[in-house]
Amino acid sequence: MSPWPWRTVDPGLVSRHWAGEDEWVVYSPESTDVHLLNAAACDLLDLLSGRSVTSDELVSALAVRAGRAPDEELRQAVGATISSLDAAGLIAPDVP
Amino acid sequence: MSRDYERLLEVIKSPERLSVLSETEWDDVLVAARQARLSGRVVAEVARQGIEDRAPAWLRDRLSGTRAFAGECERSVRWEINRISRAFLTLPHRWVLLKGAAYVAADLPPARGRLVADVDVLVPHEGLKDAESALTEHGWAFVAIEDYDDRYYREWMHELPPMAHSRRGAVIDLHHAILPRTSRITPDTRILLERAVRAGDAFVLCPTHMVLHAAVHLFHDGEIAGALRDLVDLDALLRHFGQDPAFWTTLAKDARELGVGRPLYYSLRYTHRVLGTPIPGSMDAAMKEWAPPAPVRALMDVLVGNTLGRGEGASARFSAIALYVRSHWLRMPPLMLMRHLTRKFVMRKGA
Amino acid sequence: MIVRDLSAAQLRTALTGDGLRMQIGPFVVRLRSTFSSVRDYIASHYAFFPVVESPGLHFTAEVRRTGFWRTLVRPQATFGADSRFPFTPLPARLAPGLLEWGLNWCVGRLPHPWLLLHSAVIERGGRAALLPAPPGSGKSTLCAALAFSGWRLLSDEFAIVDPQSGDVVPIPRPIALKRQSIDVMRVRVPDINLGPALEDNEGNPARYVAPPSSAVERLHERARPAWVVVPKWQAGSATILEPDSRARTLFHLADSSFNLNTHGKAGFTLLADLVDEASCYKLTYSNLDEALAVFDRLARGEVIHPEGANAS
Repeated sequence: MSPWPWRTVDPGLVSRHWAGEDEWVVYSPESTDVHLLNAAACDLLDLLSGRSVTSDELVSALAVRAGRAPDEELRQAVGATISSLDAAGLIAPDVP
Repeated sequence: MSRDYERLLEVIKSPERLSVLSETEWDDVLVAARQARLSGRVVAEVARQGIEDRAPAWLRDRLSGTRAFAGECERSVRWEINRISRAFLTLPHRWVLLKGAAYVAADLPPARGRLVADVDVLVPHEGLKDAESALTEHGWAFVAIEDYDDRYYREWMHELPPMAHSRRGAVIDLHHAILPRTSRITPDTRILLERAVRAGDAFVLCPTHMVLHAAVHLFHDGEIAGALRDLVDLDALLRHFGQDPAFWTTLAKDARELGVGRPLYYSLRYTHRVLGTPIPGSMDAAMKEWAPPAPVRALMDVLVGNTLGRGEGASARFSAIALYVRSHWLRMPPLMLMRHLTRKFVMRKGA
Repeated sequence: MIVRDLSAAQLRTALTGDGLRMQIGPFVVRLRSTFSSVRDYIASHYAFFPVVESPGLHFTAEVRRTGFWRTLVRPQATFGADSRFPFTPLPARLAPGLLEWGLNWCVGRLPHPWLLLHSAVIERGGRAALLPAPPGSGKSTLCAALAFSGWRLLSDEFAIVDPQSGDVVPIPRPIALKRQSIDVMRVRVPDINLGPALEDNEGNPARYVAPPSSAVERLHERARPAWVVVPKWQAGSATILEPDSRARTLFHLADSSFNLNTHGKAGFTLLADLVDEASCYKLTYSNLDEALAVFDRLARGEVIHPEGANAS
């Protein structure tokens, strides 16, 4: 994992969600990309909005939200989600 | 010069003419501007004069559409710069943006509504391999189409062929020199990299080097290689940086240092003649020093006139990839959709 | 004045001269062509479109001959948008098709203020149904069938959305049919006006159906999007209409847009609001009549159960 903390790339993300549905549509004005995200990815994005957070801190925060221990499975899932969001241009390492 | 280009040149030189154009003249200007990739410039003038509000419906439609398109072009360059700096996050070499992307990164006048075909990046020769790996890792791949002769690039030009992003289609050109090694002048890359200045996430050439690069790009090996837009860019840069008298002194000094006096001579001569760029008297001595023999100059006058009149420079190419339109992350690009709706959507080379 | 009001001589003079300016949907288009086949096609398939007399235009579309020597041996046609001819030429017999494909290119690529989606649009009672679907989904056949059975055609390929109001703007151009769809529609609409025989990219037969005159006469009448129905034709399938999630529908519409990026955040909000106000469905079918019946039920405001319903 990256030695640096992560944060969202575009401070102006717009999202739409409808009650009872389990997917979020997120729009990034800087890239004009439209993304379809599930709840977990959305949670991660939320934690990184306007904030710099390390992957360890993300795992802990998500563990609390999920009501479970920060085990290896969660760690891997978070790692995979971080990679996807990075590749999608939604988040990036926050280098000082 | 074709009628629509004449009209375009007229409104660039005298923007107040935009307020009195007829329907046919508007059609000419908008079409020529699009072709010359100068829509951003026209749009900025239209905004400045508040023309859109007074325009009839069909013209409002075209102006607002052009404005949105120009804005989107500029945005897409900014995003590309963002993605490139992400890819180069751990690159152990300096990398410097050139030309259009540099104007956008530094927020200079030629950046308005900029349509950038490829993003040009300068790295030291020893940094080429690392830069190539970083780009490959983040989704770029060498363009494998007949337009680009891989061998020609690698062996003859000592350059890497362009790389296109596999998802976005955006193209990046990596350079280790600002002119091919086969050129008669070979400005020292090290000097350019050392004096580069920060612009947001990236580095760009310092002002005098930026102007000299534009000059060299436009007039090298005794030919005019660019087109109206390149001249318009030069004019904009000179007017912007030239407000400081010290700029001109440094410009002359740096031109001597890099050995690019002749291209600078042509740039100053033709921006002044075609677009009325103010050149201070302090440059007279330098101009005399770099002027070519009179017959050569006379020939160049004709060549430049012809090239600008055609509206397309020898190196101007309208890459179908370049105008990538993207709205979404995992989908069929509109170019492919257009292929379905049209036939043989193949842009001719140079179209 | 509409195209049909022009005499043959007037039409020829206009098309071979300075151009014929027509209102094609929201666009004032100047058409030019030296081909008599294109002239005949316009007279036949664009008969009810208004001729524009006031000054101004959105773009120029031209189909002309190319290459002098070529003309003698194997005549070719080329399409020009605003005096630029970037396409590879095609055999002259495809000239009318070139006009349609070229117009598609112009609508899709030239600057204008509208948000464009790859979608058919039909309307009944002031309420529009968007049918956004990828090529090969049967959208055009379904659209054609609906257009000739009580629904007004707004468009078979481009949903043009007004960014200010969110209304769909009609552009009731000829409908493109391929292969078996041609025969299907011939049977359904005995007096159907099919244009010249053409071919698509893969060499399959393709023909353009002239739009119903009533649709063209109502060219200025916009409509509110009430339904988004993603159609999918599947051999042997039962007719199944299922509600689709709004998130997926929004994503799909964004996916279908040609120019969402030029509309930025306002464009995304526009689509999101559109989805919010509309009822969103997926329709799988193989029987065209049953599919049409589903649309009738939607128009009558019948409730569809969340777990999906069989139309028959």
